[in-house]
Amino acid sequence: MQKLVIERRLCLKSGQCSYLQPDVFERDEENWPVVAVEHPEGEQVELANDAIEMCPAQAISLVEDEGD
Amino acid sequence: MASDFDFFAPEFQGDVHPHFARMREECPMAKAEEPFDWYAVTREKDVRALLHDWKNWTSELGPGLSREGGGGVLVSVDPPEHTFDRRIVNRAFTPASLLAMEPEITVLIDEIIDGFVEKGEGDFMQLLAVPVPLIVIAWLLGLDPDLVQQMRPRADGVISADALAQEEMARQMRAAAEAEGGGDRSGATRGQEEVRYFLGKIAERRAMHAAGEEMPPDTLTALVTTELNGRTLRDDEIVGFMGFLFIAGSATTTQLIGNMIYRLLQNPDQLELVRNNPDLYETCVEESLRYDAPVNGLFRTAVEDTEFLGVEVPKDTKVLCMFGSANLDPEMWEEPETFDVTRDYEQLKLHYAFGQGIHYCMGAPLARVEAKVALKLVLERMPNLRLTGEPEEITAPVLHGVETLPVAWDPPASN
Repeated sequence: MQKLVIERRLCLKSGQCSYLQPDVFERDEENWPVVAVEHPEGEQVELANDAIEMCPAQAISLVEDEGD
Repeated sequence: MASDFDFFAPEFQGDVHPHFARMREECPMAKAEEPFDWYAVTREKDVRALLHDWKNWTSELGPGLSREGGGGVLVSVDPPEHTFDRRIVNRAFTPASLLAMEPEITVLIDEIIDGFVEKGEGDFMQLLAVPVPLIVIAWLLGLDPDLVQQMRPRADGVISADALAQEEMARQMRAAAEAEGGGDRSGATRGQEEVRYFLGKIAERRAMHAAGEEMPPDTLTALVTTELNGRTLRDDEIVGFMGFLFIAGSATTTQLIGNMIYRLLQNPDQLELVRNNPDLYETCVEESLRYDAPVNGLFRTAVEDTEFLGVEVPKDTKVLCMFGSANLDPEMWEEPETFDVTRDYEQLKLHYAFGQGIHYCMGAPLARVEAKVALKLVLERMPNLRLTGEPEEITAPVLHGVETLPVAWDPPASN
């Protein structure tokens, strides 16, 4: 199963992800992005990939979730 | 009500830091009177609030003080048009492809330095800070670098004439492109000649595309070929983008490179730190962006009657989000008035020099690479670099930093 991850170390708070794909990303009160759907499925994967492409910081990725 | 500050006064423009400090302290929603009522926010949390709230604080009336609707591209549209534009340009301008230009940029800057290093002295801005970003933008847009350098005065003229007119040139070019399409060839101005040149380049690419030829892997190719929502961009839209990128990508990066070198020369201890620690190049670039944001700020406009910081704000009022001041707010930064190349990189990169939120600068990775490579090669190839006079401050109010930077260095020993 794939897991959606934002690397805060890289994030520039451009807000692209939460405004382009509000079904998959949210923002906290300091405008840091927050993953809303940790394990996207079906169409959500496409939405996540769109945000990955558009992120100017290249801070978002879908990784294989080794966990349970 | 009296005004709180005079943004356009030479006294303000010549030394913005103390004015920003006073405004953050005394009038966080500062009123300006000229040429009509507008405001400026200078505290980090207020700048952040406006930049992230694009639904209530629109860019549709342009990022400048002019209310003429903006240029109809990125900086002057909100979603959904903004989303469309940004997707197209992002494909033409991906962070990865911009970062991949580092080797070419290194060769370019090396060659430019070859051209003047024997002289041992000169104006650093004209020698290096001006040509580098112009030539890189020319590459991206498939234009002739020599021609683009001749166009530079016009780009500068637009910025200084209308204060904040990144969008204005794009708008004029779109209008000229439309007139061109209509066959009006009379009274060609210089701007129209440039539009004609841009249109010629677009036509070449369209012909190559139609013939199935291999096309240069640059931004212009992407603008011509990218399809989104079942359509490609029209000629006038591409010309608008080209004009916008031309301005947004050149004068700003020129200021970044010049301001950074100036502060290092002013702070010899910091210069030595960077010289001895290549690991600090990137932090030095970010600290320069924080300390001397090349763009003082850009405007947002109230969508409806509202209130901000206790001030009643009528619909359509312009508010200047002062990036340069947010970058110096003691609420966010420790010892903000100290130029310190050893700051924590992860916090430092959250400065406001590239804005924040949905209009975050798309060219940021490119500006960062150009500045880093320039820094590296200047340190390596211009030993004993020093100031030989006082720099002049740039006159365009939206821009911040040095217009001239008289320097000398030790030329290579002739054999």
